[in-house]
Amino acid sequence: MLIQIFRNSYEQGILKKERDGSSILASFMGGANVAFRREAIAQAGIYDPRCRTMEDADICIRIGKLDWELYRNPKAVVRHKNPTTLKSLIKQWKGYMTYMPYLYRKHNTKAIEIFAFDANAGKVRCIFFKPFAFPVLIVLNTTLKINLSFLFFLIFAIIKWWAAAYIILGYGMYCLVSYLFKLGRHFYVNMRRLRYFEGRQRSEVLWTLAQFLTISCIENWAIIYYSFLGGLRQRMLFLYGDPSH
Amino acid sequence: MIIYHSGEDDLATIARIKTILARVRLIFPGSLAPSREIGILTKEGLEKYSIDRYWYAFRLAEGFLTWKLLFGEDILPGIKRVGSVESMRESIILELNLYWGLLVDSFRIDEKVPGFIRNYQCLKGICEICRIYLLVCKGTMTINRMETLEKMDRVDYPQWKETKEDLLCCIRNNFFKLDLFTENIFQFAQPMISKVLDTIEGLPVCAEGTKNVSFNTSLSLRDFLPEKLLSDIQEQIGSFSKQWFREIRGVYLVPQVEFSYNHSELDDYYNRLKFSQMIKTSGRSLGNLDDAEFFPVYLVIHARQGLPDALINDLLLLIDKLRTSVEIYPYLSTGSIAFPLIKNYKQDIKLIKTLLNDPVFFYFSSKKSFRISVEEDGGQERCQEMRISPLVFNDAQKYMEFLDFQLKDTSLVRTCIPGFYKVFLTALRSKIFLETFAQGEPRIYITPMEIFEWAYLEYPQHQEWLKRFYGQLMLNWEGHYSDSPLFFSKALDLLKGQKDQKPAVDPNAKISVIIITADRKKEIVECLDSLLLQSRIPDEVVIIDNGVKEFVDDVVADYIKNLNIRHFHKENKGIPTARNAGLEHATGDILVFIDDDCVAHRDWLEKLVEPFFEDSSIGIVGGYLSGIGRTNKIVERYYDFTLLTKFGLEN
Repeated sequence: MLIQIFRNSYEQGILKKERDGSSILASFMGGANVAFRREAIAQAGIYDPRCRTMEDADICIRIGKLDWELYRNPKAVVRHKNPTTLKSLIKQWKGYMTYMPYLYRKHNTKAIEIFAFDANAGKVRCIFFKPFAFPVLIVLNTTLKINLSFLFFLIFAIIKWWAAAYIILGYGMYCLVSYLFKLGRHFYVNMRRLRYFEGRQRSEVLWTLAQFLTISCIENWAIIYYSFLGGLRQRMLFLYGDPSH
Repeated sequence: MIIYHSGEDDLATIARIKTILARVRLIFPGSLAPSREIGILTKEGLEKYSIDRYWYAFRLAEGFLTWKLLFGEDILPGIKRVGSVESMRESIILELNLYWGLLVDSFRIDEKVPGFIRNYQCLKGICEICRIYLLVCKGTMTINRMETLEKMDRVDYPQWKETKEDLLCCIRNNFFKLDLFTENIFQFAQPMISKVLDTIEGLPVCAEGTKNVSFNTSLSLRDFLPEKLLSDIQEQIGSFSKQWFREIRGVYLVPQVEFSYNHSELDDYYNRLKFSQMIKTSGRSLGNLDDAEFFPVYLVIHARQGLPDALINDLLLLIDKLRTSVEIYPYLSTGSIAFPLIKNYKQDIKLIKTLLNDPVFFYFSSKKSFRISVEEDGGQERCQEMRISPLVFNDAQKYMEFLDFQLKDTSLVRTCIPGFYKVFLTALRSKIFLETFAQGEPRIYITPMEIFEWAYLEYPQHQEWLKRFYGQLMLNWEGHYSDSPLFFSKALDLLKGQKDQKPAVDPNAKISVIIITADRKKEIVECLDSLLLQSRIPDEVVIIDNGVKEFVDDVVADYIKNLNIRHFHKENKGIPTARNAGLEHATGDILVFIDDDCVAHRDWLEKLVEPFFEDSSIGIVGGYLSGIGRTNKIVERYYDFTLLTKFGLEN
């Protein structure tokens, strides 16, 4: 879930910069509510016009590399309209994912990188790094594991490798159950914090949980699909040139 | 090839130079095949720069020098040395002009190479030339660094100005010291060698024809290092986990090294090779050693030409007997790791392999690949590339296991006198590693640069020494081409004191708010309303109108009395282009972006710009985005939920 990784730090203070790490772990400020010092802009340069959607991440990474500090002040509040339909949400994901490969290519090394949540460190970090001909980025989270395991189950069932199919199905079920437990706990804790439960029935809460699960599944597949398309697009632009420039 | 030589422009000189080139090439083919690329590892991959000619020049210089020192002859056939100082000086000046010309030539073509690398090269080149002056003249000539710099003024080299500034900065700060640089060869090795040679000369001549005369001599690093630093390092290492560095610590504490010399086998060849040692081990003396005892061997071999067969045999014997390995620095002075011309390549490759198969060695040198070129009898060149897989440790446990394994199984840490630096670096590296490990986040890649920074801050009493040490290390860094120029540029910044010169923003500074809008007439009204109600009203509002269907001219007209609005129309070419236009037109010291569909809280701007006035190092301040109201729509709730919680992260 790249979007969540991008929106990780909402703590007040100077954000930790990823010096040697990946651009997906770097902290950045959304372009809608941000203040720049003129010197910083003068040093790092203006927005990259090729980065149509992730331009704010790009400029934050660039400025962060130049020894400037990034500071988050959550007291400076701006209210904006959230996407209200699934279509608009998917459109947003599409927007992010189309230009992610460009950002990735710009700031990351050519390597296969696998990111996963590390329970010991308490955050997402790179668990596998190997130099490769072109950059490949995989973020392993439980929803992705569940989705992939069911996909593989289907494939194995079609070609009738039943032993493999059942093993992978079992793994998928294990992931699903553990995920449901975790999600339920987070859902309960955070929804209560956000006061969504006030005056709601138990069945309604469960129904919301199920809907959330569905949306997160859709999100995963949308991200995989659009990032693949975005990567292809990036490759095409790299090979045949950008028509808009 | 363009050859620059100052003043003299006659065909005879050029002809001479050509003959020199031909001869040197014949004599030292190995010296002309070092690595010829500088690589910088950036985020986008490995950028490589070819520095062919530069290396060519240096190898040539090396060849001249070697020829002179080994055989005491002039390479130039036309000039015969009479013996007077002045004629010698003339010939030397001619040759040095040749090196200089080659150097300048290499600068001229290297326009694609980034500035700081070029400066680094230039620094290296000047050091090298100074060193050659010193060595060749043996003190008969005085060296003036400024003179060499002035010489460069006459050359048309476009980037010379900035390079010169950097070099002057280096000289002013004693970043590299000429003495130290020249001592590189002699400072540590010379006392030891002279000691050994003295002992050999002082041996009683055996009249009865007994061949083997063995003697003991005790040598330790303590004789060659500043005391304070040594004790400090020992403390440093002692405070580490003893298990890890048991053997490494042993390097410093070993009191005795036993060499046995076979006097009769010191033939003419070795005698001529003044600055080399031959170490011959006999079975008897080795048999006396306790295997369990830690037994390091310091070997300094300055073999400019190919290693002689006998020496290689000896080394192999030594390696077999001691189960140790030996580091060879063929080009200690120029910092390349190229292996010299190898006569018997089967044996030599075996030797090199024993060096290269040692992961500790790899870990230290951290090179991706070595290329060894070997010339066979038929005249064909045979290249052998040895790849090294980068060692990646995912956790501290593995790292510990790795070290433990290495130290236990080889049971010896190989080192030589310059290898002391490596041990020192390892100690510091592991210290940093342990520190980060204590924080629960072990760092895998710790660059020499970071180690330098760390040591520089940690040891204020040794800062001068460290500067010189790292200056030297930088110039002699074996194979760390990816690190050293970067280090150089960073160290320069440090010396220039550029780092913390950022003044804080004046609280009365001009603030411009930039709004990008496209076809959102209704929303921008709310946005401008919220700007009007701010506790700190912006000095300037820049509106970039990207609209296709409708423009916001009439809305702007309503607010123009109360806000200093500047309104620009622009063709819709995407958000970043519009934002750049906003940056262009804004005149404030602080540039604030807000979207047209956002509504700011009353104290938004005040809170947002507050950090700039307090901390001078802050470049960006970000705020907090929150949704408008709460609705029953599931998607909105999902969006809020994922945004506000760490839901996405923790699964």
